[in-house]
Amino acid sequence: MKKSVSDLLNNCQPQELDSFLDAVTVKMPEEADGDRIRALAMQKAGVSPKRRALRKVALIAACITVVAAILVGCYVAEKVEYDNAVKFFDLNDLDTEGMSRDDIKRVYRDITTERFQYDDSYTVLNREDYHVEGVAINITNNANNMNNGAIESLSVGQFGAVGHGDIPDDTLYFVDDEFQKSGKNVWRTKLPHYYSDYYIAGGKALIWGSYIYDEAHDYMHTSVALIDDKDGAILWEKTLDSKYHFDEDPQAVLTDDGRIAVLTIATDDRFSGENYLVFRELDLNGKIVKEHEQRTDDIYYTNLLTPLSDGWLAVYDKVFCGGGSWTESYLLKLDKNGIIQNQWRFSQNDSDGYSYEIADMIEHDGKLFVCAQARSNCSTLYENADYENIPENTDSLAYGFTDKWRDAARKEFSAVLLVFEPKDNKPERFYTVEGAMALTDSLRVDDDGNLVWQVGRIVKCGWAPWANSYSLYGITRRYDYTLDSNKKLIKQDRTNIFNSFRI
Amino acid sequence: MGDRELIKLLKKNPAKGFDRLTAQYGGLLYMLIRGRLSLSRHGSSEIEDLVADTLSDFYLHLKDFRPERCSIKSYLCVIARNKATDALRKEKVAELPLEDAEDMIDVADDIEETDLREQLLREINALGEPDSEIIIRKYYLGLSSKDIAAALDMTPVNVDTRAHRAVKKLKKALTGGAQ
Repeated sequence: MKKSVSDLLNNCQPQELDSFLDAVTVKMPEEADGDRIRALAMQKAGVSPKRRALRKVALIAACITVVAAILVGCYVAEKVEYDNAVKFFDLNDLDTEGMSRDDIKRVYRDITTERFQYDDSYTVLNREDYHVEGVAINITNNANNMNNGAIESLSVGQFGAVGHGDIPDDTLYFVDDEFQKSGKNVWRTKLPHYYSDYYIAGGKALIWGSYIYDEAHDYMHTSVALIDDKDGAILWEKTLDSKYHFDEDPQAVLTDDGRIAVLTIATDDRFSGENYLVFRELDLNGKIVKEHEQRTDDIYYTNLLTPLSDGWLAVYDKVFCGGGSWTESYLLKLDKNGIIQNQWRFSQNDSDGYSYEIADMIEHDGKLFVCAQARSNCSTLYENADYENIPENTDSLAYGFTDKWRDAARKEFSAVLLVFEPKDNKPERFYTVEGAMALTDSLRVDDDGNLVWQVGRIVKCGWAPWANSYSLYGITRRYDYTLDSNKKLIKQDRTNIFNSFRI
Repeated sequence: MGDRELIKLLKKNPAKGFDRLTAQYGGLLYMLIRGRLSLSRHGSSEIEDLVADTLSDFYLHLKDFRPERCSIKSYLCVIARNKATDALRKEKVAELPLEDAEDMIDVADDIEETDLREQLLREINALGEPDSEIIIRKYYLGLSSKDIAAALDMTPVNVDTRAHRAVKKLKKALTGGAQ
């Protein structure tokens, strides 16, 4: 049997070649245009070099254009459908209160085709029950599987009322090593390092990130800075001293009472060294008031950090190896000094094939609320993909939005809200919005002290075979659900706020 | 920039992440694809398109990438290699006749390919520098002797001689001296 060295190398798994490729560097040849490659790659990936604000404006403008084109082009058909819809509502004694012309048509179409994809339809048919739990949000069995029995070990103590922080009306932008804030008061601040994330509370913006302080070894440390949200002035910037070569992957939060918590992963050797979870608490002057480290080799990445009345709660990913590797997500309870008290798994494919990813969490009114994105294995979703007949048009990254993809996506994605009762440390209640995406910063407390949960209902969805064979993209409309102190759904707001998503 | 930092950058600031990604790996991917396609037939812009496809695919699949399993560099190389193969298939370009290729090794029929690959990688490692790098550049990345020579500060003739001797060593090791 003859085998070539080339063939054998080509059949290697990528990890088998890591050590060989590590030292190989190849410069871009003169004949190639690196700028074109980068621009083209960004275009295919749907990444705009423009700032997010401009993208958002462009997205909204595109939506308006599409809607306008449809309205103009299909005026006659629209009128006939609307008239039929009104007759249908009259005939069946259904209430059109608060519904737009489009809503009425959509609900009419939805009910007569027996699809029942729109929560508006559900609302119309159940108008009498609108103010009680479960009108637009179904509490499903899927959500009840979210903790997979691991909740027996849940021990999160008594919660008090601690706010999560202000949800900024404006948006903070990362432009190279600068922050730029758009809104009524525009400010732009040049920073000496790259910062990766931010949190705004009490009129101040906390920013954090890790940067290479030793170019020769790629050693990284973590920096935090506090910015005055009024004018963008840097109040202070601090690189956190560490005895480790790598002290990175920070997550941080700024509390309403002026405490700053920072979690990092520290090690001297990323691949085979011991890993430590380092907790630091700083005051508003940047002075470290508490610091604690503990060995936690299995923590790969912390994703969220939120204050509790008696400590802190983080989300982290744990990596398992052996026969392949996979990642599971956990909740991690720290006491006030940053010492790990408990941890429990929240994410694993449940019996229905759903997986969950936490998007936001908040402690409110003595309870802990966790919002997560539930996603099925998408086995039915990609049945829509017509792989055999992909048009060979590289100018077009996508087929455009279609009802088929939207409906399929709605079956696969749900936003889930989990309420923990501290008395027995078990989640007491779930809310699920089917056909929706969980949004970051989606939980807040309104002026009346009620919890507001923001959910992105999928309204458009398309497939982008040229960008990626398995890439979905689309637009969500934000719905705000309000829960009173008894955790009853008391309000549903259908906003005109749209967000894009890409999967 | 390390892999984890690059992934974070891509997530937090995709535009800047693409700058770094292209700067770090664009040249490698371009040369890898060029090594499989004919520059005269495809032209540099088509190769650039495939490099862009590779980078965008990586970004769009970022959630599936596990840095603990392999490096971004190796992962990108695999995507790029598949892109080049797909491009050749679309053109219905016939496979090159390999029977007489210099790197062809006659191995025992009953040996598992995974075992063979493991052994090959061990032997390449045992060649030491710069021979191991020459083998990887020539037979995995598909670079020309001229390009390898420029990168390793050698003459093309020297590269060819070393590659020839290295392959000979590999054949001997993999066949127990039968060739």
